Amino acid sequence: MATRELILHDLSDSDSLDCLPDPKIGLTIFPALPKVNLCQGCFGCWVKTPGRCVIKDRGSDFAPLLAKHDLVTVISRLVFGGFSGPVKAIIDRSIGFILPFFEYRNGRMFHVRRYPESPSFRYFFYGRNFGPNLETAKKLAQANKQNFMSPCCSVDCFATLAELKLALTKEPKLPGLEPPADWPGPRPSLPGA
Amino acid sequence: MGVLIVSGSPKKNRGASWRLGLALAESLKKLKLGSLPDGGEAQSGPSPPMALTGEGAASLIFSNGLSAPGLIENLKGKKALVFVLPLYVDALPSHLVDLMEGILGKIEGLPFYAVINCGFYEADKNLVAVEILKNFCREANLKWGQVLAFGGGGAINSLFGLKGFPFRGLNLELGKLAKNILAGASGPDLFAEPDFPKFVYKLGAHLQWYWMAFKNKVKFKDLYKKIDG
Repeated sequence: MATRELILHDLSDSDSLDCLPDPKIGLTIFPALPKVNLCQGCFGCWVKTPGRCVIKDRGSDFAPLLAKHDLVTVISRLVFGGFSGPVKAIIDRSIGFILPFFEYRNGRMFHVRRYPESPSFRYFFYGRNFGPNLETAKKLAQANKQNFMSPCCSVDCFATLAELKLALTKEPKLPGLEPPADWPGPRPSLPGA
Repeated sequence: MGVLIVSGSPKKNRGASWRLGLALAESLKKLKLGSLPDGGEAQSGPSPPMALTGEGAASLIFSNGLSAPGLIENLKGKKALVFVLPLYVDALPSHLVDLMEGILGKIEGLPFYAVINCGFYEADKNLVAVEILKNFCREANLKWGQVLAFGGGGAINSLFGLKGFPFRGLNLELGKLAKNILAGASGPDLFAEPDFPKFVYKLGAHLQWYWMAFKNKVKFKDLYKKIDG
């Protein structure tokens, strides 16, 4: 079965026309611009309209889309090691994809899955100042992978949109992203411990 | 010169980040930084922040609706900038990212501190967000001060007040952070979790979700539903 791919991006209209693949069956393009309303932290996507954000704009469409795709490609400027504001605004509104309840995995607390499967994620960052920021982005990808129970994820960075466009034309290959050597680090000592 | 505390939550009510901001202000007060009027309302920037009395007062403002110029305006005469924020999907809320980009190159040299709280029990779930803030400081040429990462943030807006149990550990670390803010000093990352075990926190969280569903007239089985359309 062909891979159903969802592309979330913060490219301008002209850049997206130039870089993104042509429309086809199984491909969904979700622009992060214009920026959607902020997540209000109300947990309505868990306890009021389970699975979907309560705010009535297109941002509430993203979480249900995650369940309908095999691969999510996130294209974002790399900002301090994380996503750009518009991309993050979409991601913030997507926690309805998982349940509010907690479970333990290797003794640590995570949310329970809502759907039987999760998509794989690949992150295409572009911009500048990759250095330490890219290492942070890899840790962010690993954390998101654990929380969304994604089978695998990958992180790539591109200095130019031309390179990003070329990468998008290639068949996605998703080795599991190995956690960085110091992930998640030694358990911090707490007061009184 | 005072300190500017920015509540990094998009909420404009007394959410966990705002309460943590007040608790930090209290710790600063105990160190004779200033006094906080009881029941004072935090205001959204750039209109006048909630000013505290006393020499070297701390001010607490909301970030929702706060522009970069507004933040810079509020920072005039301040000796440090403190973000108090919730963890959003392992990182920072989106509007804070935009705000941080907007002040790049405009407030160099200022000491920066942060308090991050997350809904997971483990405080180290905040570590990626801590790194993002450190990267921001490096790019903005701010002086990295210190961060306090708190796990179990769901307990903050529960039946408990923030003084005493189950936040003794949190208050201890807030005190350390406040001392370094006062001194303009840097320090190692601080971590705190509630004063009860993880399984108690998990039980409390689940009860809270069921209670909220009940108030919203949502059937418990519908909490698990999948969206098809």
